[in-house]
Formats: sequence, C-alpha cells, structure tokens
Amino acid sequence: MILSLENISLNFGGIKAVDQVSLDVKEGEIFALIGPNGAGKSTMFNIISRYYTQSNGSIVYRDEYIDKLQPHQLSKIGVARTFQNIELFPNSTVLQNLLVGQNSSKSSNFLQEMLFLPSVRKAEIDRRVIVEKVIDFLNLQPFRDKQISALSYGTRKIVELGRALSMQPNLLLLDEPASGLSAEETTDLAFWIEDIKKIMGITVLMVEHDLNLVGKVADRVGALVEGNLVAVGSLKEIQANRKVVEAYIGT
Amino acid sequence: MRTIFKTSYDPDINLFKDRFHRLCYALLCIVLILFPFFLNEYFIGELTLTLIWAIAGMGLMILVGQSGQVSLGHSAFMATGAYGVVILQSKLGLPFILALPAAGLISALLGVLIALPTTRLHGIYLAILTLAISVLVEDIIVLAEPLTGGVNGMFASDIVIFGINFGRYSNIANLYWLVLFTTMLLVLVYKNILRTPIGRAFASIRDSEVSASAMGVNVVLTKAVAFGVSSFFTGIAGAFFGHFATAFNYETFNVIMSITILLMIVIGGVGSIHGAFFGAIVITLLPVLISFLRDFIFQGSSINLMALPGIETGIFSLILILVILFEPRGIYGAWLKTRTYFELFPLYRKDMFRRQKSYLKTERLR
Amino acid sequence: MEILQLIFSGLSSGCIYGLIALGFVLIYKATEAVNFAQGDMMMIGSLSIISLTSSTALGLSFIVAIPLMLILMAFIGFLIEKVFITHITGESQIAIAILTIAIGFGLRFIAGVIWGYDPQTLESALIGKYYNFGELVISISEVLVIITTLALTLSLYYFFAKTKIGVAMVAVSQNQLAAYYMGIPVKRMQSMTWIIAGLLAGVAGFLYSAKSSVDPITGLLGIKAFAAAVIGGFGSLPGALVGGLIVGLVEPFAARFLPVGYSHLMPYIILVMILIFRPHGIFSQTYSKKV
Repeated sequence: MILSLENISLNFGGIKAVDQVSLDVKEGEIFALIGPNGAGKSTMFNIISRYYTQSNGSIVYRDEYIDKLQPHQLSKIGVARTFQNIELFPNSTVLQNLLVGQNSSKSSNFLQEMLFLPSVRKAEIDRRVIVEKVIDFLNLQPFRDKQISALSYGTRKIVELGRALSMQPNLLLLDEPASGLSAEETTDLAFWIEDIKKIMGITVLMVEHDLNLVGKVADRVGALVEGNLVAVGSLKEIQANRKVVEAYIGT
Repeated sequence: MRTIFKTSYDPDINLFKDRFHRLCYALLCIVLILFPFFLNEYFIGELTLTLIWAIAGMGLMILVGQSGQVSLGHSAFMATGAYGVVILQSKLGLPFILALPAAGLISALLGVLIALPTTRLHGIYLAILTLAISVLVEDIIVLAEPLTGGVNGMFASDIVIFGINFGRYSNIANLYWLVLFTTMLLVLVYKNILRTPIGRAFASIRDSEVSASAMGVNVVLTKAVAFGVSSFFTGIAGAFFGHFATAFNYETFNVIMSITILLMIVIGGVGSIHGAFFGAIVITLLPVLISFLRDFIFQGSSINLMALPGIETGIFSLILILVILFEPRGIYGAWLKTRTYFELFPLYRKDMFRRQKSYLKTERLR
Repeated sequence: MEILQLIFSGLSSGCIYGLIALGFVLIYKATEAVNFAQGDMMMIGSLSIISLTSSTALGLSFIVAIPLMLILMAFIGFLIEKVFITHITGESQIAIAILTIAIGFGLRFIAGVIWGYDPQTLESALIGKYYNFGELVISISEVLVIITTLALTLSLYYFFAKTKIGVAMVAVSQNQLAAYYMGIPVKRMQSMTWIIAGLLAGVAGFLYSAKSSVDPITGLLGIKAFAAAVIGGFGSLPGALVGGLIVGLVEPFAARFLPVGYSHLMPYIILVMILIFRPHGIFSQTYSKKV
C-alpha cells in the first residue's frame, strides 16, 4: 500500500465536501477517481497534498502518517501533483519550470549557491540530466527555451505533467490531466500515463472526467458521489453500479 | 545573429553565453577600472555614486524582480547599513573591512525579521507595510540618540584598509575602485542566484505560491531569504552611501529615498541586473543634466525653466510616467528591442514584444 | 474633561484620515488599484480652496469657491484616469501603484511651482471661533469636519448599496470581463470612480485647510491614511472611516500619555501590527485562492 486514506472527512461550513472516505492505493497501480462535478474529487486531492486539512481521519503514506506535513514537505517524500487549472511559472522557460521540480532534492544551501561552489555546478548538471530525460520522454524538445506564456494550452498541460515528473516522485497526483486537451493530445497522454507506470514505476492517482482515458489506463476506479466513495473496482463494474448511474443521470 | 553549437550543459550554466559576450564584459570592466585616469574628481564622485545606487537597486531588484515582493521601505536598509558601519567603526573600533560585511549582515537580519511575520502579505499590502517600516526606522533613529546622534546625525571618517586611505575627499579614486570591486562581487553573487536553485525558488514564489509549494519550495523560508539577501545588498549600498556623504542624519534616509530606489529599478527595467544599472545612471545623471541645461541653454534668457523649485522630482516623475505607459520593461526592455531589431534586420516585427492585455480579475481571491 | 477634549480633537483629525482612506478604498474597490496620489490630490484641493478664497488672490466667497474647487478636483480625477490609468488597465496592481506614486510626485511638483513651499492658511470667519462648554473647548471648524464626513460616508454607502451605478461599479471591481459581458460600460465606471475619488479628495482638502495650514508636503499625510484604510480592510467604506477615526484618536492620546517623540510612531505601529496579526483588516474581504 503506497497511500491509505482512513475515514477522511471535511466540512465547508455545514456542507460535507468529503464524508468518511477510506481508500487504498496500491504500489505501482493507476487509480482513477471519477464522479460528477462537486463530488469532492478535487477536495480529496487538496487534502492528500495538504492544501486543506481534513476535519477527521488520517492519511498514511508508506506506513507513515503525513497529516502534519506542509504542502512543500510532500515532495521530499516523493509525492508530486499537477493542478486542474494550470499553475506553471508563466515568466520562466519550460526548462526553468522543470528544473524547479528538482529543487526539493538539492543538497546545497543558498549560501553555497550564491558563491557558486564547484559542487553546485556539478549538482546543476545532474539536475539538468534528469530534466532532459523528462523532456525526451514527453517530446518537449522544441519548447525547451520557450516562455510558458508563449505556449498553447495543451502544451502547458504537458509541461505541468513534466514538471511533476522531474521531481522523480513515487506517487503522482494528476488533477484532471485531460481537461481542455484535444482528442489526439488525450491519446498521447494515455500512452504517457501508461509508460509512467510501466517504465518509471510511478504510482498514479488521478481525478478525471474523460471516461475513455480512465478506461484505457486505470487499473482501478473509485467513484465519489456527494463526498462519499460509493464504489471501487474496474471501470466496467463502476459503470454497472446503480448508485453511480443514479448520481450521473439523476433518479 | 550568432549560432552556438552546444556539446555539453556547461554553456547554459556559465556566466557568459560565449566568447564574444565575455569579451564585451571584460572590455567594460577595463574601461570602468581605467576611468579615474581620465576624469576629474567631480565625475569620479558621480560615478561612485552611480555604483552605490546600482548596488541598492540590485538589492531591491532581487526582491521585486526575482521574488515578486514589492518594498517601499528600502531606505530603512540603507539607513541600517550606513549607521551600522559607522557605529561599528567608531563605537566598537572595527576596521572597515570587517564593519562593512557586518553592517550588511545587520541589514539582512532586519530584512529577515520584517519578512518572517509578514509572509502572508501580498503585493500592495506588503508595499504599505514596508512604507510604514521605513517611516518607523526614520523615527527610531531620532529616538536612539546615544547611538545614532539623533537629529544631528553622524560623521563618517575616512575609510582606511591596511593603511591605504579610501576617503571621499582625500582619495576619491581609491573609493571609486573599492566600490567598483564590491559592485563586481555583488553582480557575481546576483548572477549566481539567477543560475542556481535559489533563483528558481525566487521565481517560483513570484509566479505562483501554490505551485511553488507543490514543487517543494518552502514559501516562507524563500521569502525570508529573498528579503535577507535583498537587504544585505542594500545595507552594503547604505554603508558606502554613508561614507560617500561623509555626514548624514535620519532625513537622509527618508521615505522619498525608498520610493526613489523603487522608481529607479522600474525606470531601469524590473527583473534584470542591467535594469538596476540603467536606473542608477538615470538617477545620477538627471541632476547633472539639469544643471547643465540651467547653465548653458537658459543662460541669459529671462525665462529659466530649470530654476523652478523641485524640477528634479518633476522631471523624474515625468520620465517614470512615460516609462510605465510606453515601456513597462524599462530602459533594459527598450535596449532588448533595439538589439533584436538589429540582430534580425530586416525581419523584426512590431508585435514581437507585444504585451498580452488581460482583463482585471479580482486579486482579493488569493 | 481633558479626555473628552482629546477624543474630540482625535475625532476631527480622524475624519480627515477617514476621508482620504475612503478615496483609497473607493478606487481599490472599483479598480483594484491603490491610488498613492490620493493624499497629494487632497493637498491640491486644500491649496486651491485657499487661493480661491484668499483676499490676496481671487477672494471669492465660499458659496462660489467650494463648488469651483470640487469641479476642479473632479476634473483632476477624471484627467488622471483618462490620461494615465486607462492605458495600463489590466497591468499588475503594483504597476498602477507605481504610476500613482509618480503622479503624486508630479502633483507635488506642480503645487510647488504654483504655490511655493511656504505653508498657507485658509481665510475664513469660521476659523478660530470656539464655543466653550465648561472646560470643553469646541472649535466650529472641527464640528464642520465631523458632520460633513458623516454625511458623506452615509451617502457613499447608500450609493454603493442601493443605486444602479454603485452596484455596477462594485461588479466592475470584481470581474471586469464578466461585468463587460453583462453590458456594464466598464470604462465609464472607472472614470466615475476617479471622479468621485477626486471629489472626496476635494472635500478632505477643504476640511483639512479649515483645521491646519497646508504646503505641498502635506500630501504625505496619505501614509497615515493608509493605516486607516488597512485597519478597515481596504475593501470596506465604513471600515475606512472607522480606521481613520482609530488612527485619529490614537494620536492625541499618544501625544498626551507617551514620552515626546513616540507619539507619532503610533499610527505606523498600529499599521504594522494590524498587517502582521490581521493582514486583511478588521472588516475582512479576502478569501483564499482555490486550487
């Protein structure tokens, strides 16, 4: 088990955004959370990545409670995430954006960096090598030195995926990776997500509306309805579940 | 346009893009070092002042241009540097060579102390806070009379390092070289910040705090470091400023000075080291230019526009307004455009540097 | 009785701070920009009413001079918006703030050229008239300040809560594009805001000149008014007035009970404390960003 949620609840002023959700994500699988708008999927994500604090329950990552951690401490233990609305650094180049992903693994402190000791140069080249691998993997070579503000929406989405990958995580949280992408871009994305699991060995937890994509890549699917996790299983099983169907179509 | 064929990652990390680039800056350094042999004392003094402003500008540039936090209170750090170095020299008897970095560190400490409780503040709120602190520091200097000489201020004795005199009035060329050497060191530090993780951490909190923290950047710590480094630079500038002015009091470091430093980097071009230098040149050149105009153009004529009171602030604010309206990236931005025009001649298009207009959405939802 | 006297003088200077703060908040509410030139606009208002009524200059009566001055101030507000601010709509808050700082410098320069740097005082029969209630001395001008401010704040509050234009201005402040789609003339609303801010500066300027002498540096009073606006949360009109009153009240009490030199630190200390402990003021209007 790489990630276990135990009875997570969160209320926003009387509304139960997430209600007693327990969930296990296995090492090396792709787990997709689906559900109608407002079902609490993004809230779940923000709880896992520590932007929100749950009112109840706890989160276990590789046998350790991570409830007390700050968002920026998650990268050190190997959790990376993307955002639903792209949150790149628009005034930097793609390369610089990806290099930020390597910041958490740095061994130097700012004084050494300001003096640019020889070890800093060596570490900088090591970081570049890792980032270049990500660039090759996602075919981002043409955009390496482009400013984010000059890129199309689809490319930005990919860059954001790349930035998370350049953190070399064990667990990757993807918040609606396919939203706003064209059909071809989504197909590419499906292959990449498969490869992220198979080649890089990264566990993926994703929130996604596009059921085609979910069907292609997800090993297991969980359906959230009004803050409750109503079913977990393969996409087929989920689609056959009456509660899920009711939630989507209405009774 | 030169094409560089890269065979390793080193050229992307090096200080200079290529040999031509390195040659240009080497020439610039040599010219700067040789200046005192050609100029009279007045101009060497003006050059020294320009460099001091440039150091202060770089300090604020790190904060505003790199980490995206605006300060309207950097005169407080100038004051800390100036008073710090003179007090350390006169009261504790430290030699200048130790007192200078110590004064810088005291400024840095003040900067960190201001930054730590206020990391939740953004944009305009931070600007107002630092403005208030700048006013407070002015008053505190008056109140701390035993240490600071109160309203009367302080006198800085000549800088002496290893028996060599660097005094403003006794040996201005030496002072110039000392300031120039310090400036070069600080430019190097600034460049190093830009090419290492700390610079990327600064940029990340400037552009999106939310995703900076997702990338493992400790936002609070990074803001404090940015403030610390920025106020260190400005403190060093202040220390030199005190010795350059030789006599100063609380009024030397008033709110107007804070605002002037900010306006200086805006005119120069926010976000680049060049900008700090361009801004510094404008700010020291302006009075010289005005007195030149006063003496030559309006000589003998009955209308003397240049004799109006406060003409310097008038022209300064006019330049600033024009810069913000027509060239928001400052003089450095204009220089970039011109260079691109010639590099790409005749392919340059007017829209290449076009800004994207965006509609305002409330920033209250942060 | 001494306490009452302090309260009274605090209230009247607090009203001035409150009025300048209202100007800040108004423009912030409508355009999300902070007008650092508001204090200097007030200074222009003060100096022009002094010149309009002074027997050595124009010598107009107040009935003519006040409307004239207000028209002038409204025009200055309109001009600043038309000539400068519209061109950088959509730029960052900071760019606009820096622009208004520059405009403030410019206004100070212009005032210096026209009026010189000597302090000027208003000539009026009202000035220097006092009523004595036992030991309490109340000057007419201070009563005038308090009443005018109260009336002005109430009518502004009504304007933004109830009138169509006021609500439209609030809408523009929250999302320009959405407001534009809903058929609100965004640009005209912005001009309106600056005109009202100019009028406010004019009223504040008149009231200030009734209390004290004025020179081009008076505009720096705006920094104290920032304290008022921040206490009020920078988004609330009544908040700005309350903030102004707090700053105004603190000053005379600090001057009375603290050692010399510490009293005028107080507004800034309050400002710093508020920003550290309640960064969005007492009347908070800020929410956290959604990810």
